[in-house]
Amino acid sequence: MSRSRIDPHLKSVLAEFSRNYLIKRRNALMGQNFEELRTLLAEMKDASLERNAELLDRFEAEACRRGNEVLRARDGDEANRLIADVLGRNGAAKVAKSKSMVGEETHLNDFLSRRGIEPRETDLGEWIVQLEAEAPTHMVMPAIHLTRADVARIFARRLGRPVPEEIPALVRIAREELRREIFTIPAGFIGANALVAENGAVILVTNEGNGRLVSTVPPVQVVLASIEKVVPTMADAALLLRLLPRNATGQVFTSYVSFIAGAGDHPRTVILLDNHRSEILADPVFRQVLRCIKCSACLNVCPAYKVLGGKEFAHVYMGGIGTLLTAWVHGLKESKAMAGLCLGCHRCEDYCAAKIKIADLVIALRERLNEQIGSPLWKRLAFEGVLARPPVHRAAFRAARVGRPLLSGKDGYLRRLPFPFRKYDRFRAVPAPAKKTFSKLFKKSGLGGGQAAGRGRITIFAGCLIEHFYPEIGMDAARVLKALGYGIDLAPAACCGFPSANGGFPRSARKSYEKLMEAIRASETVVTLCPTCTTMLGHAGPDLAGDEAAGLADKIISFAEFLERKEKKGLARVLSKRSEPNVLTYHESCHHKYYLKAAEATRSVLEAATGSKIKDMPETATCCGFAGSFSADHPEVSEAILAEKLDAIKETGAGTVALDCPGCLLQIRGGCRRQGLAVEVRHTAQLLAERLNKRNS
Amino acid sequence: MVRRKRAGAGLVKLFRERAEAAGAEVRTSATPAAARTAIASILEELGAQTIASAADAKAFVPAKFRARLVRGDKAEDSASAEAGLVLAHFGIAETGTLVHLDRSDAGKNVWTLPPVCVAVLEACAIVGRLEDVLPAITKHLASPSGFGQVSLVTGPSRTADIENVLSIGVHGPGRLVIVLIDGKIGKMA
Repeated sequence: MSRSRIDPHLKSVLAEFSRNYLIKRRNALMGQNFEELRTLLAEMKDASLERNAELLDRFEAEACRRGNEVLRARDGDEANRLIADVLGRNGAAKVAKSKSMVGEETHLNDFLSRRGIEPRETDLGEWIVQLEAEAPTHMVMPAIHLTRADVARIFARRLGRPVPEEIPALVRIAREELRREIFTIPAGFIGANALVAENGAVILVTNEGNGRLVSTVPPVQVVLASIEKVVPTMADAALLLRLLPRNATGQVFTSYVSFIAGAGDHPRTVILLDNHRSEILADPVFRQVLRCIKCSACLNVCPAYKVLGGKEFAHVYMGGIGTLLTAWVHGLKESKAMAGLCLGCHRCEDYCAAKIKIADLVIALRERLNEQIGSPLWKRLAFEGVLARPPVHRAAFRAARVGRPLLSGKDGYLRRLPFPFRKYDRFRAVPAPAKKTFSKLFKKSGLGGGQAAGRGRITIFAGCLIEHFYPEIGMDAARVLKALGYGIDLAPAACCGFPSANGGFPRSARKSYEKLMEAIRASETVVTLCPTCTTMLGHAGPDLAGDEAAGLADKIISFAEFLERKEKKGLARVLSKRSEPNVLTYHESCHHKYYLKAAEATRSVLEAATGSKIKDMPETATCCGFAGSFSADHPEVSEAILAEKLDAIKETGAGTVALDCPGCLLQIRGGCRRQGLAVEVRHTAQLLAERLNKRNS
Repeated sequence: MVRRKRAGAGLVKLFRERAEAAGAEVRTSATPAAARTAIASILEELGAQTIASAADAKAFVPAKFRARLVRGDKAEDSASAEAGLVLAHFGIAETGTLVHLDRSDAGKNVWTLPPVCVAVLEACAIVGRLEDVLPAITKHLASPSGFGQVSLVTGPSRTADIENVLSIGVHGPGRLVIVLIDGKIGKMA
């Protein structure tokens, strides 16, 4: 078996980093309207991208008027050549560098070394990884994967003497070493956080001050910037600076911000790099990727990045946004493995300073990967052969139910998997299919049919997991709605299409979605019990189907939102308020929270029904690690993310975990079982149904 | 009139809070002469032998340091001085930031290279937000014949690159001491 992809030390460093980041960011954003600011930033960047060519020309003209030289590079190689030429022309055999992700993108250091020019990184983290011959693993914290002991070892090797494993001493060494060299290095190289068209200014943001040293002390100056960095005016730059430090490091402002418009006392060459960005610009779906200001907030909150870090979840650029950039600047093929590591939890989208729909775009990228690079046979079979064909789908589950006595123990879980498959179930017990489907139980129960008692009719769409694994949740939801006075119909038990859409198979997804929508076209209100299905029926599906879905999305509503909006009084009538015997906590399922924005609705309904306050676990809105086929593709990552979720639950001392998604229920309940935790994991519908008063139960 | 004074005091207070939160030290003097005295005692506390200063802060160099002054023209000189004495053109209250309209590399060297940076700021030059000082910054950058650079400095040099632990003074000054000249300070006390 291959080595573990998860480094336990790195995982714990990243977990703590992420926790601290969230606290610092919240403080730094106090008094700022983040939503409003990022909407403005997204609009400003979109408008700038719209006139990118014109702004670049203006920037060039203004920078040249102020004594700078501006050159354009089509790709990374050309940029590297231009930089080497400028350095060569000035007789520079060594160049001091301030941090530049674009320089990483073009592999500038390797190129210069081959040309006999020594690149000297000056940002502490960059220098450390350079000495270790590694690549940065985070856009803002390049050496976050190394400990102080690692750094001491690296410095000792460089200096040829022992070095104490103390951070202040290590920082002092970095200062002394750079000070020893900087006055003799003939050239300085910096990246750019933004370019201002109206005055040709390069904006450079650093905390360490190395950017100031590098851009002031050496006589020859080179700047490398990618073309999307250009903004029209200083006011636009100020907006960017209002968000960048706050969202990147949770600082109100960065220590050093330099506006460099005039060449000052030195000649300065600015190289503008395209490297396939013009192609992104011309792509209406992916254009918004270029709004990115590289704050890396998306990395700091990404559950998969937190577990894997920027060695595993990276090519050069990291995480979800890195996946998208990679597909263009380093080629579609290089983005394939990364695209599979996005959980699709959409958490990053809540934190993105530029409102980039990162997770949605990763799904769109998977489509292109499937079309142009190909996809595994088992996925094509599963999505196109099974899920998109309800009769085949049903037959598969029928077969599984027939085989149930063989597959499962008395407890309703599958038997433990044999050795080669153990990684799939060692962290989470997998349920066996239920003896009877939800459709069948519902039919027998007599809850359906009959005339509505005044409140009209509702169609329940339960989704595959409830239909085949957790029919009791469907029954509970039906009982609650019936008690409220609704007549109940069931939507056909078919796949909503989400798994296919998520896997990058839009044709199968659309087929499933349209078939289902046809079947519920006549329904007035469709109440759903799975947030992922709701996302498909209410948002992603209509996007796929276009005009043909017009109006259908409006009648799709999740169980919790329906109750919160329409039946708060009704619930008070049919429920007997009763607190949970043990502490109640609530897991905010990703689609429910980030896509439907419905977590508050559940909280309000649950707190009303139980009369008790929910005790929040740390990071309650972080993914449980299930994410559908993700947990089969990356069981190790799924396991690590679940472990954190279970730790968070344990920390609350909760006896009951409420949630809204049967996928999370499968994962968390199965994990509790493996760990032997005495925790009940219940869908909101279950917690409500057990409180129906006698008249109604 | 009274209201404007109050708002001014609020800005000074906010500037002070935010600058300190960013790791700067703030000392207040009522007059330029008092500021010179305060600067002399800061430099003496440091035991400074030589200090670096750019032309615009010349008026604040204490008499006894005039003979031990290096200009920032040569970067090495600034680096070997024990402190740099600079004049900030504006302060931004919201972020505790000092704004310097750079006129030479020498000026930038004095701000960046010595281990301690002593910056003089007049309270009347404090504005609320970056946006409030943009016209001045933009004007400074606009002229093709000018030096055309601007520096915003907030607190001392910092890094968290090793284990995400904050350390001060990695490449720039480890201390930023702001000497705030606030004429109202005497009356308020």
